Amino acid sequence: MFTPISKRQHFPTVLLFMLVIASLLLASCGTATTPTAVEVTRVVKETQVVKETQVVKETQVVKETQVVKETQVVKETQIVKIVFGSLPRDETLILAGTASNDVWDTFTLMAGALTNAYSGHQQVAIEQAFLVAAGKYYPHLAQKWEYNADGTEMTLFLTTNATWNDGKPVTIDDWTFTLDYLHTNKDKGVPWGTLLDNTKYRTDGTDKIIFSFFDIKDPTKPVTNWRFHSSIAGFVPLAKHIWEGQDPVTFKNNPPVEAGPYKLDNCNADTKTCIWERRDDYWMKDAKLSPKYIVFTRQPAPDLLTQEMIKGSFDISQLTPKLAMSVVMPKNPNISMIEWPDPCPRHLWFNVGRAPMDDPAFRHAMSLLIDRKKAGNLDNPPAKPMVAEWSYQGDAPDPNYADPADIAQYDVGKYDPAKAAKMLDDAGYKLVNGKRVDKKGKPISLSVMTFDPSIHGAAVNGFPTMMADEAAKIGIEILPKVVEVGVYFDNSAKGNFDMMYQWVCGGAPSDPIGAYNGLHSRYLKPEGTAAAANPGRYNNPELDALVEKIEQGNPADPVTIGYYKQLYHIVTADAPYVPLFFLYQGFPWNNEYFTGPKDQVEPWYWMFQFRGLLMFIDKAK
Amino acid sequence: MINFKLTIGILLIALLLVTAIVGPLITPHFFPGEDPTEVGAYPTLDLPSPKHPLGTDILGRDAVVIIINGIRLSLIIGVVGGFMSTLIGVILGFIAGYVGKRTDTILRIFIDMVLVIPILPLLLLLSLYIPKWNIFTMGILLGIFSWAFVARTTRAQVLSLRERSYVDLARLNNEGTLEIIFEELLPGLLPYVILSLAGATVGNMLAEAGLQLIGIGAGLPPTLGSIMGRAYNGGALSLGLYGQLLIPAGILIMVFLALNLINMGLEERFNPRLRQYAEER
Amino acid sequence: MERNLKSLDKPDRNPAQFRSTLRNKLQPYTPVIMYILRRFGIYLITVWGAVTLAFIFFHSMPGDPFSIIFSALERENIGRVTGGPEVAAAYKRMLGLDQPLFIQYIFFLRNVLIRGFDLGPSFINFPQGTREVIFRQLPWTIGYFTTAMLIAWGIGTLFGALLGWMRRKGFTSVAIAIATLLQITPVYIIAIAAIILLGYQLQWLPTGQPYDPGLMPNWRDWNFIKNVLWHAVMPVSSMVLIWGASFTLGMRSLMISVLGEDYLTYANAKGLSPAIVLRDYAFRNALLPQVTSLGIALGGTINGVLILEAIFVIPGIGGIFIRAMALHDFNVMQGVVLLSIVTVLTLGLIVDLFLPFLDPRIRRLND
Repeated sequence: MFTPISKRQHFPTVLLFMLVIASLLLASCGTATTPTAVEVTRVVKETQVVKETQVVKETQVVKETQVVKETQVVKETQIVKIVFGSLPRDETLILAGTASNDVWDTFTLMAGALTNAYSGHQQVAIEQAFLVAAGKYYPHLAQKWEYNADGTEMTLFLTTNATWNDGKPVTIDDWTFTLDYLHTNKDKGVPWGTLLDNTKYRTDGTDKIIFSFFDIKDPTKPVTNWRFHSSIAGFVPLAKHIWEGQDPVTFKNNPPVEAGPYKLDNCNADTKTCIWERRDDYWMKDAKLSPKYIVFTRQPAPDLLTQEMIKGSFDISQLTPKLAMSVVMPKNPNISMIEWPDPCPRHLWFNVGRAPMDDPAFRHAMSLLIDRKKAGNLDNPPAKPMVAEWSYQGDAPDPNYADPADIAQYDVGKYDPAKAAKMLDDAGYKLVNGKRVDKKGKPISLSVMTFDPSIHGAAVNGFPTMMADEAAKIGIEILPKVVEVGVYFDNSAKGNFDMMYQWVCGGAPSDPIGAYNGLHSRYLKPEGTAAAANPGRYNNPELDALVEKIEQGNPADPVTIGYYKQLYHIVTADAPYVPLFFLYQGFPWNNEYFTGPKDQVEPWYWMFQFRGLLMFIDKAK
Repeated sequence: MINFKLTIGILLIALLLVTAIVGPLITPHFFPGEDPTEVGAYPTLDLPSPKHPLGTDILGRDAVVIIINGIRLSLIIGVVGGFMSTLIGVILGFIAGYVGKRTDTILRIFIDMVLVIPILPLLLLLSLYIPKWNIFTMGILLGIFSWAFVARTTRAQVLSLRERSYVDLARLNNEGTLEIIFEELLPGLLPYVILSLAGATVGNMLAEAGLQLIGIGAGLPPTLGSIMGRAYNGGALSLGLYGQLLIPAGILIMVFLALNLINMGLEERFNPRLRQYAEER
Repeated sequence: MERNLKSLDKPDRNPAQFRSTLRNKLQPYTPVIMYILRRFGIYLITVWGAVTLAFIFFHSMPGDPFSIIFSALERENIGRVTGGPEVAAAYKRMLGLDQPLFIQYIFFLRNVLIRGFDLGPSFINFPQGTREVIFRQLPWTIGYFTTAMLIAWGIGTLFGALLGWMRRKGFTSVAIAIATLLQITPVYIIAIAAIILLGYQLQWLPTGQPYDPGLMPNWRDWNFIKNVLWHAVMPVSSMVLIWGASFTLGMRSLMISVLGEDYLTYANAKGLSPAIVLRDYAFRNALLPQVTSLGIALGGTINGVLILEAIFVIPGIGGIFIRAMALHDFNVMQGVVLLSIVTVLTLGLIVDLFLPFLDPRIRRLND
């Protein structure tokens, strides 16, 4: 029954395994040194020191003096660290980010929200019309703008000496090509695709583009648009000789041909590292570009990242402020923190289409249940409770935009559970067996949708739980619902929530249209269908009228400012959303090789804004 | 009769269960007047101090209390999932093993299909769409996806038990099928069922912890895995909060150790052949 | 058995009547052929069933990737980007997602089978197709995990055989206890312990990334290969430690059960030295189930792959899967799952087909 298997058959296999193990062990022994930092000596200064010796010879007749010169060359050398293959450390700015993207060989902006924001392309390679940094407009590919008398036209004056990084000049043809190209492909979700839906442009042979605005429904009817300069500021023209005839979604633009100051050296998808080199032929001669190389790489896990920051391996990283301040800064005196308030403060939104949230009194009661200060303290640095937009302005809002009487009357930002209970009693939500019931007699149970603390911090994750504790004391069941980013956006757009945490980006402090135009009824879609804005399905014709008046008006006009005050009154009284707090962001900066900005500027990893940061970066020493 | 390994294993499990049940009742006494599990009760990510032996977590709660509560939550996930998978697995494995031939082949293909599908990621996808997402539903989902292994081993066991002489004897005695199943086969199967239950429970706790570590599995109250994951991804070591990472890991290891000790102890008891060969020769 | 015995009665060749037909030549091999065909048939059915199950699962999940993507777009860029829902609808049409499920299934089968594994477009990496995304990063997963599994199997088998042979000497109990503890420890705990101890505290080894970030991949450069191997030491060692432990214990118990067999007693009685008995008789026979377990283990590691790739930052398919999950990129998730399913089943098939050639007993026993 059993035939003994022949002896020699399996031994080669065993031997093979042993060989593999042995060779692997040998190989790993051989690489005992970590080949990370290489040091190279570089001659910095050569000085010639001349030594003179005098020889005096006395003979019978004459005194002979011989002067002998010895020259000695003294070399002053400096040890320079080499990183990333061949880059000198003191000329390389290294940024480490979370780098959560898979596409590292495509350098375009066409993928919208999916564009790789960590490759450095948007940060240092492209060039915009204007750079907006800390509220100021710096001319880049455009010089200035002018509106006509009634605001129906705007003239944009272009820069004439700009060049692409392959040497060709940036001409007005590139601009017009880009405007048409993006409009043709607008159904592919490209940025500025819908610009030409309500705007016409014409050129007159000089370096000017004249934009005229018309009604989106009736092309013959001109409308005013005093804000066009802010929407065109971030416009990035494409190189016509590169992009003509290409499909915007599939074209890779590799290596990227852009008009910006840095060009691509290489980009590695395995290690998520991209190296950019400064252009010698950059056309803006007075631009401050201190680093010769900029490297965007991936940061390791937080514990290892703190070690790297202590060693000074990165210049900027996305390390949490708590770790940076309590662990890194005590050990590395070169590290400083750069903090700024996030320009989009956090709010609690209500789904106005669902009962009982269709009752303003109920919404106000909910707002009174939140202890904003306690929730804000969960973050480090703490989030500050807010009563109105425009976090740039600090605690007291501008009375021109937000009437203090409204703030007092409607208890904006207050914490008062007792008053909330009374409000609910007065509004008709009675306590039955310890639970409050709505108008139909059902016990009230609502969910609050929010993020995990690792995404937007502990404060926005923790406040629903606190709210739930308070609500339970007065008989309402609140369920915090922590969801993933993808599901969050899906639910938000489709109105699949009771209450949710969301931010509101107000816009400029002097023109906070962004805080209100998202509530316009033009975005209304039934629950279950994705809506572009107005997730809470709010419908108020008064607000619509005011928003439209502001949109057509000139932001410098005092009448417009008056509208804002009325808008604030409506939104505060009706409370489709209530303000919570604004968050402070921060990141650690390594001053060893490059010194950073002293003032508050926008964060580096927010796409285009890094160019603004670059203006404030100097070489150390 | 009861050997060393079995005793230690059972003791460990008992210790864990006692902590899970009694712990949450005792801990409030150490914090008079406060609720240590309340969000924002204390400053976040505090270093260990006499009041907070393991510091506080990212939401400002005392870490020791959270860990003790977490044991209970992890155990619930494990037990619910383990029950679910053992139930489905034993039933299907039994049918496959006992009925045989056609049914067996079809069921075997089905079991292989489910065995091959990677459960963890799919589980997380489903979790996003369940309205009432809490500990129990997670445990049930885990159980639904992990019964295949139990089914396989049950089937193998049933196949071998079916051929034993006492089953033939029962057939000769004209016992009905149901009687054979309940009186002869199931008792022989019982040790394996218990072992599968224990193994599935622990396996589910493991799986949940692993997922929390890579950051998926949002939205649950803090289980051991969640505490561990938050600590690792939040730089707890650099902050000096070693305990928040190591203690949950240690508890999980303890659970696995206990399970394996029980496993080995039971095996030595029920499988005399192994013991004999191991000891005598 | 009866069939083969009968064939012994019949003379193989009748010189007058023998015709060298294929059928006559193949006749002794009929059981083997039937076994292969049957096994292959089961394989095809299982693959098809699993693939279809996965397809249905992924395509009937709620949650529309494009509305997620374009809602995010809208949120950041009110006024600059086209209306989200319209663009989402356009993309859906372009990618054929608005067809009924059955038609999508037919297209899917056609793409996979006839168009060379075209797994469809990937939403998050658009316009790169799923196939490109997965196959670009697949070599890393195979390199790390398959190599680690093979090494673990090799070491585990040898060590287990040794332990089984030595039975109850002093250090075997210690070794068995350690192996048992390691076997049940989840790999990620050892991985994190290694990162903390070796990477964070002692800083002996690099803790992540396949190689140093500054290097460009150049497989002809010995320095590059050395760097890759150096970075692989920690991940591979953690895996070898855990998986090797379970292989060790498996081999040991197989060894012990083999040691009770009669033919070993016979070999000893014949006067063969213990080394030869171990090598040629005990080891050889215990090896067969061990090879089976290798086949099973090679296929069943997709869960561990996900977690380990996230911890050690290896650019393999696990990382892709996790990112695809965040944005509900069905095609990528489906592609990864399909790949793992097919791999597991194929490896099982290969092992099942390979075994009869190793062990003649199986040939006669028709499973």
